[in-house]
Amino acid sequence: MGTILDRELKKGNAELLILALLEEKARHGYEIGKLIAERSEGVVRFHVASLYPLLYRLEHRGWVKGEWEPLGGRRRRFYRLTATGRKTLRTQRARWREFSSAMNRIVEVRCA
Amino acid sequence: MHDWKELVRVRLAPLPLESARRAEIIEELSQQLEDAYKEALLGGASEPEAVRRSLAQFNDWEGLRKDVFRAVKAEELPVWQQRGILSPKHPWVWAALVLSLALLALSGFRQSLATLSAPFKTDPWDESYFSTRTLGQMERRAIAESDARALAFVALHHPDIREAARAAEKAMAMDAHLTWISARFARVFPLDHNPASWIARLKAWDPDNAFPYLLEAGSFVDKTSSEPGWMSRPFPEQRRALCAESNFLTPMQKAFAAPRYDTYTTQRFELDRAVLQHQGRDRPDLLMFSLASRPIPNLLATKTYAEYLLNDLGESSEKAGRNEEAVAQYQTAGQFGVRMQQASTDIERLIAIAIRKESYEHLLPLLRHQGRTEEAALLEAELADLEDTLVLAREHRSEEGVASRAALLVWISGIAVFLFGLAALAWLGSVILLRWKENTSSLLSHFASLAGLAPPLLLFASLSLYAAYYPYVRHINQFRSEGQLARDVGPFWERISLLRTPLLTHGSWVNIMIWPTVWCVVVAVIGTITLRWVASRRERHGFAEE
Repeated sequence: MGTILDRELKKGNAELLILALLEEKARHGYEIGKLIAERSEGVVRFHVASLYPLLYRLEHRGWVKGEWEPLGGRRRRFYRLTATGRKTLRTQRARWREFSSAMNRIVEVRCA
Repeated sequence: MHDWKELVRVRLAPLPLESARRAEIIEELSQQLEDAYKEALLGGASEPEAVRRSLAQFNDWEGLRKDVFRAVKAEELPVWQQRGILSPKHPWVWAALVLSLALLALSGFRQSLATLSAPFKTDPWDESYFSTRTLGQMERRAIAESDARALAFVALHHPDIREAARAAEKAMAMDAHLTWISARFARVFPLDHNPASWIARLKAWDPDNAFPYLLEAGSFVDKTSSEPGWMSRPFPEQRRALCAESNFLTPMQKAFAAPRYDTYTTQRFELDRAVLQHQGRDRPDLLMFSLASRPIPNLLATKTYAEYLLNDLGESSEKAGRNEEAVAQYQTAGQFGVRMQQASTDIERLIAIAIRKESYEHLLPLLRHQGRTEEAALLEAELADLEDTLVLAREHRSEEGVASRAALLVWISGIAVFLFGLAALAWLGSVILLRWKENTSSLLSHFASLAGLAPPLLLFASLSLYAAYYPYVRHINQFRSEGQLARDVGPFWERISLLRTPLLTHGSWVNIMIWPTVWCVVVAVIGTITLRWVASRRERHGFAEE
């Protein structure tokens, strides 16, 4: 049961996670994967096989833009948010806050 | 130094994207592998361990290929570009389809497929077995070749009674030995059909047989029982009313006095077998259902007359002190029961046993009363034998449980073959269309990639059907007699025909379904394990190659 819930949560919020990470600055795929694992302290771990298709899907929708840039003697593909992506992030973040606070109100209630 | 880019390029090939975009994706994914590899080395992992950890990030390259294509193009990877185990590019999918079709070459497999429609038939002999067109062609050829047997077959199976009667006239004109086919026309239905001349012909041809007289009495009962108010009358009243009618009484008297009881089952079996063989229809079920649809006497009317002899005539004579007359009445019924017990159907034999039993139960005290102890002792032994016969008959019914389970198993497998066959056909159509025009529809491509499971599932279901039916596989020329046919495959086909009733009405259907379900689950598990094993083997083989 826990596994299914985890999977659904990740699936629904994967886009939000990536958009949020790209809000600060442009990042490449490897960095995105590492950051998700680090910032969630290992709770959320993205399978790399899912990460790249998701990045390509976001790019196809016009929410992010990938560009090759030099880094450490080789070129890397950096993804940055587009204006549409920024707008989508705001909407998704508001929805997430609303959802998580509703969940907290339910879960944090203690029996008297 | 590992060539990560080449590794990704090989494993993602073919990736039908524009070459520049494809190169970008390959480069990006190879950097991911390289970074993970370097990080593992920095973390103290050995070289092989670092490679293993890096590659472990992508354990399903085919899935990745599909996902990447779907993400970039927002459509499914064309089915002919897929490399998965169920891709049409792989010969085993086609091999599964060809093997499933090759099973059709086996007569036993074709026989097993016939089980599918059996539960949906309302009459044993279905008109679809031989269409009127086919029967018409058979008739024309039979006339040209003076083939009386083929004409008789048409007469027995043509759904239009007038056409059938015409064929029967021709058959009997060619060969008088075939006059027994007149029995088909001895019923009063349809209402504008007059059976009298056919029964008269049968009586004249076979005067020592009880059957034509029973048909004559039966046809009178058919007419009488359709009169308004008849069915609401109490049974003893019906019996007395019937036996007061000479049209019923006279043929019944002749039937009970006739030295033979023969419903022409052997003749019909031999005729059907010969014609089916000649027609290339190696179908024991057709032989079974043809026999099951043959005319038999009106058994209720027969039993009614036996009761009239025993309860009305015999007991009245006994009460009036005419004991010899009573003995004669009881013996007439009992002897008729002995002859009727030679019949080929269970129901006729059971009625015969019931008549004999009632007759002996009337006769025994009377013989003892007359001091005919030796005769009474013999009769007592016969009565005990009859009880044994009934016990054996009950045991026979319990053996039918095996046939019942086999029938259900075969039928469920048959349904699976039908459904997977349809899915395989749809898959075939879609892959042909997509081969011809790759970008016909993303939905169709998605369907084709999912429906790739249909050919292997069709093969599994077909093998399961054949295995379940195998104990009943026979060629029709293997049956020497109708009795052997009834013993070997009769219970199975009977159960198949009755499947609709237990499936829909019995509350205990779970009990019936349990073993077929277990069987299907085992087949599905073995199939899944095999597919996964082949997939993992292929994956390992792929790694080794690269």
